Amino acid sequence: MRDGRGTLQHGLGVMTWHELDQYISARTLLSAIVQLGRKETNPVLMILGGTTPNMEHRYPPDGMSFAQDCWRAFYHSHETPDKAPNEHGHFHIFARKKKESDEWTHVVGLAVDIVGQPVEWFAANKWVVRGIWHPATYLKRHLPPLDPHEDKNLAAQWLAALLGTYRDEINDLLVARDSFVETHSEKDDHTDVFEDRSIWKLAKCHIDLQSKLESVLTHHDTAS
Amino acid sequence: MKRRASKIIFGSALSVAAIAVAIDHTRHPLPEPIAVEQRATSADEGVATIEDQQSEEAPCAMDGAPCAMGEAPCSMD
Repeated sequence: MRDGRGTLQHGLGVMTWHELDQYISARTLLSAIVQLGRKETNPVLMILGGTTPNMEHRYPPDGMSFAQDCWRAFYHSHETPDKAPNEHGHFHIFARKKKESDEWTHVVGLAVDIVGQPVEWFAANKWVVRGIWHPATYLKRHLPPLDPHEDKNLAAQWLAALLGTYRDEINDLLVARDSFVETHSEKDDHTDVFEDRSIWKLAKCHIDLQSKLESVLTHHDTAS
Repeated sequence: MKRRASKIIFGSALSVAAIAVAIDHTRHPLPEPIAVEQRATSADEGVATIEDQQSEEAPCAMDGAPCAMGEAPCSMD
C-alpha cells in the first residue's frame, strides 16, 4: 500500500532503497531456494543436468546468461592450491556494461561445496580470468543491474539473487582485492602480482547463507 | 530530496526455522568430477591437459567465445 507521500507501507520495518534492493534479492533468493528444494535439486545439479562433471568442461557449455545478458557465469571444477573447504567447484561470474559490448570483466568467483551450497566468494587473480580489469570503485558504480526476480531460469535467478543479497560483501571483497595488489606489488602496473602463477585468489570471503538470510529478512521483518 | 524520502516501510513475518528448512532441502551430493588424468588418452597423444594449460595460460577466462577452455584457466575465452 502506498501512502500520500509515495512511500510503501507494507508492515513494520523501515529501510533505505539500498536496503530494499538487498531485501528483495534475499526474498527472491529464498523463493528460488524453496523452488529448488521442491524439485529436490540445487543450482549446480540443475546446471550439470544429470551429467558427471569433467574437469576440462564448463557448465553450461555456453555459459549461463542472466540479467538481460549483461551478466554471465559458468561452473567448473579443477584443482587449485587454495580451494575452499569441501569445495566441489566454483562459478566464475562476469559482467559487461552493455549487451552489445564484448568487454567482459570478472566480478567475483563463488565456490560451492560438495552438497551444492555456496561457501565462499573470491576475487580471482588477473592471469586466472583475464578480461577487462576494473578497480573496485569503478565496479561499485558501474555494474549492470541484476533484477533477479525477472530471470525465469531458476539457477540464474538463484545466482542473481545471491549476488544482490551479498552486494555489500562483494564490494568489500573487491576493495580488499585492490588493497592486496597495492600492498604486494612493487611495479606500478602491478604485473608482478597479476601474472604471478602462485597467486590464484587475491581475496576471499566466507559465506554463511542461513545467517545472511536470517539477518536480512528477519531483521527487516521484525523492525518497527 | 531529503534522504528520509528514500525510506520505505516494509515487513512481514518470516521464521528463522523456515529459512533453515528451505536451505536443507537443497543439500544434495554433487557427482564427483572426473579428473583429466582419468581420460583414456594422454599428452603423449597430443591431448592438452588442464595442467598443461594452467602452467602458462589463464584457466578461467571468458573472452570471445564464452566458456571455452581458452588461454586463461577461468576466462570466458
